Amino acid sequence: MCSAPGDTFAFAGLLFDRVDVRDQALRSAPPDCLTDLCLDQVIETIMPGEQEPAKAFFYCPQPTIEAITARQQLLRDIEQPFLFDAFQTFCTAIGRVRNLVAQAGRTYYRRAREARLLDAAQTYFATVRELHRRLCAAQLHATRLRTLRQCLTGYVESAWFRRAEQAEAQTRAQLREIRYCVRIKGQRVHVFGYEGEADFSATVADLFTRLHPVRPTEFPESPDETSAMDHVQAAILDRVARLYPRAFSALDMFCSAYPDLLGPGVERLDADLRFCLACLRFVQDFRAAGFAWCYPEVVQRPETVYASGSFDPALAHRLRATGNPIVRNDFHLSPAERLIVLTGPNQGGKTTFATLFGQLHYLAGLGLPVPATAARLARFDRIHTHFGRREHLADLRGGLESELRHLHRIAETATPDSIVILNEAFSSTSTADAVSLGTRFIRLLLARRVLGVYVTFLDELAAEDTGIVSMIAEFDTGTPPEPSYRIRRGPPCGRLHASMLAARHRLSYRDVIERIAR
Amino acid sequence: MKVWLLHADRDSEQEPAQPCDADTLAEDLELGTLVDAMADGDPFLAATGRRILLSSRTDPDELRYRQAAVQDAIAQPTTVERLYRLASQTLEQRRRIWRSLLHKPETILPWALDTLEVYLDTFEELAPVLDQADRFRSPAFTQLFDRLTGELEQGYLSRVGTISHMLRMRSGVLFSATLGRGHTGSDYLLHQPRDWPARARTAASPRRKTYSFSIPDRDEAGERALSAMRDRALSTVAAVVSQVDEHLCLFFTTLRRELAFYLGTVRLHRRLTALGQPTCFPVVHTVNDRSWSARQLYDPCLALHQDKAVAGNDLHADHRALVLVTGANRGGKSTFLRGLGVAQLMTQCGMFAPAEELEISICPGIATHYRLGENRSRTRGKLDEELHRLSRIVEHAEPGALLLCNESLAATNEREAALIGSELIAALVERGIRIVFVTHFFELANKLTHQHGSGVLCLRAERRADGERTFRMTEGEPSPTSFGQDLYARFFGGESADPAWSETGRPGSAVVWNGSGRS
Repeated sequence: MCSAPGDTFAFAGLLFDRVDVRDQALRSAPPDCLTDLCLDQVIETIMPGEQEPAKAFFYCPQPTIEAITARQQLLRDIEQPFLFDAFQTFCTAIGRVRNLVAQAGRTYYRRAREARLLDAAQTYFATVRELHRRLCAAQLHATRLRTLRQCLTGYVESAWFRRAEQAEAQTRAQLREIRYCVRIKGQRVHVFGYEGEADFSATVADLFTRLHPVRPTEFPESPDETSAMDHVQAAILDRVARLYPRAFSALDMFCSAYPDLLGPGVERLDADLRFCLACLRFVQDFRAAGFAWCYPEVVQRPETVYASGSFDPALAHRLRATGNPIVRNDFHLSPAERLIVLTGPNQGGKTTFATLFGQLHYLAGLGLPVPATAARLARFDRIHTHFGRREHLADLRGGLESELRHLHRIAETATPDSIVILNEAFSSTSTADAVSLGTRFIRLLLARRVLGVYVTFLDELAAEDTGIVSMIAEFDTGTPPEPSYRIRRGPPCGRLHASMLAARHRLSYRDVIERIAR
Repeated sequence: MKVWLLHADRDSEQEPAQPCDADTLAEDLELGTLVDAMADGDPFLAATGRRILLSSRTDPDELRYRQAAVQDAIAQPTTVERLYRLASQTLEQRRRIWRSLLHKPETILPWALDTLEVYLDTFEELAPVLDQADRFRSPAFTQLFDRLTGELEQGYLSRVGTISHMLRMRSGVLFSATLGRGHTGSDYLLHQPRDWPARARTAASPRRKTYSFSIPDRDEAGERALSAMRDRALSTVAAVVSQVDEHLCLFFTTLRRELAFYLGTVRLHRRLTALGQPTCFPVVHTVNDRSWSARQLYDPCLALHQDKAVAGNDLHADHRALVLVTGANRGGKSTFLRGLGVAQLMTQCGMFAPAEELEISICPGIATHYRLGENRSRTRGKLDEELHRLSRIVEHAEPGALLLCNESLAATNEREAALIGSELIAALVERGIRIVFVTHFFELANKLTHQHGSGVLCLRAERRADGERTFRMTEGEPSPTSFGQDLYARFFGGESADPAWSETGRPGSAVVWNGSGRS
């Protein structure tokens, strides 16, 4: 649909304002923070098995609050059941059209290829019409959906569209009327027109109903019998075409007149919709299980930011599969507070919280809902993450060196709009070194005025300072104490961690006495 | 086509529901002997007889339906046997027809047509048997004969013959189709095969425009494609004809199975009559009637096993919840118990009963609980094992069920047995379970007697004053001894065989109750 005038569906897509911005965004590579934030898992869950171009929508958080708000508006509209269903139907059908066209491309026999193209055309016309009908019946708030409706109206009302639709219907009607006879005797095949011969199967079934009621079961047909064409069927089809020349020449003409139906406008619409629908399905799945997601308010720092009842969607998705409970956490940062220093015992949920902080912002930046009951989040230019990697511990000096290089790069590139998430930095050096390096790096971050989370096992780093908020991983009281996975504000709680860990490993005084005595 | 010889409203199942511990029940009641007599060397009769015997029916009307048919079968043994042989032979011939492993219409159809020929032959042989119909009186047999006569009239059978000849498709497969997905053939219709060119030349319909081509030799893909098309064209008729086979095969299988039961019953009857044992058709009552009385009830297994007539016992246990059997060792207690169980099973499958007269309430389930012999393999303690089995029985018990206990709880001592047993039995009786309890434990028996008052029928294995056993049960309260010492005396001779001593029930005789001389 490119040559003839009036046959184009000129549509820039739903997720971006301009085609060139969209094209550029879709070429972007996954940002470094994606893996650290476990968002690669989330993306894989949302779009299982999809290749890069489809996933690239996830790689480009929106730089302005306006762009983010526009997407939120769009998604809120799409979420309405009526529209959601309309778009879902549309994407499924377009997928079918694409599939038929691809099948046609793989088909060797001309008449079989043409049959598929005709099927593709029928589905395509019906699908576009149906979407247009439903959009006209819907109340649209999002500007981009209004634009879409406008474009669609122009498209379906164009003379080209009507003519093509009519040609398809007429050709199909002629072909549908054909019934032909085949007689196979040995290796000889005769093909001739059908002249009202009776159904012999029915005669046989009638005869035997007297003995017992005949079940209408047939032998299962293997899938290739229903669609794939072999050379014998192709030979029969050629004879049928000779018996019914009018219908088949109409088909030839249709296929040469409309060789390619799926234009770039429809492809853009389909791709954007598939992204939106996949994300919303993921969210709805959680909501159906009782987990709230919300559209966050996105603000420019310095402003208060917070999230309540939030959870890590990657972890929650895994835990839901095993039926384990999911702990939700809150945070609240006033305009002056910039850096959360998170301390507490291992296995207490520190890393999960740090990840969550980044995830919430990243998802908000994409214009998507976030896993929280309510949220107000900062606009950012980039999320920097540094997660201490265990494999680096083998080579202590090398590990520290590469770590410092990475941290330096973060410090250099971070702006007041950046978000920084650091997990167990300097764990490869001595404690005294780590305290001193950590303290200095935190001061640097504070000077850069970044927003972020600093996870550490060093209580000293949580020392009071302007801009620092100390948070700790909470443990339930009990022997052995179990982590509650709740993160709350509070001063670091020192040696208690060690005794808790000991108890959990059954290394308390009483435990050890008991175990050795036996 | 319906058989309906066992049930008035349906065919019997191939595997009728069996009680939960069918093997234990069969073993305890020694059904093997009974089944062997029914089979008379035919393993199919044995297997079928056993299954039907164990799958008790609880509807009195159904039992009367079968009793009438059993009476017919006993009166017309040759016809029943001939029908049974015809059914067996048909199934055997069908089994011998070679069947391709390829499950596709093109290969199924000729096979199904071959089986159809077997059935058509059988129907021809069936005609003279059906002429005997007027000698039968029972609804089961007369209705079967009526149905067969109606369904298999000659005109119909010859039409079947003609069509099945056409289905051989000797002049090729003719079908029509429309253009389906991807323009492959769709919506296939098979047409009556005929010699096409001959018809085409008639004046009424001018020759149709026809295009023809041939698949070259050794074009295997082409052959496969033709075969696939034939499969689609033939799929409905192949399904119909193989369904006909399935149906007729099921009919003959059911006929053979149901006739096997009647034939087995005829053979059993013949054996018992030859031994001079009486038989009767029991009067069947519902559970709530709590009817249970008999004249000369005997254990057919013992008679068959010993190959001679055995003594029977009278029973007057109407409205009794518990029958308590005590008395002399080897005095016929176990035989008596077995006779009750076997009679109940025979009654509830619609057979005659091993007695001169029997009036009996049907029960929704029969269970046996026998003391374990030493030969059965065990993985737990003896009492643990016994209680485990009892608990299984309790789990499956329904009000009105019959429980036959032979020396239950013998794995523990008398005091404990009395404690456990009396509570258990009180609960079972309370829940409407009918129990026959054979025990040599005086304390338990005594406790039960007083606990249940008029609800209990106490029987004692009779022993004459001279120590001779009559194998008769007489009514009598349990006495505080068993007669093991008699047996002991027979083998070891001697002093303890003083009848007066044991009748008085002196303290200390408990040593003897504990059954050192029991078999």
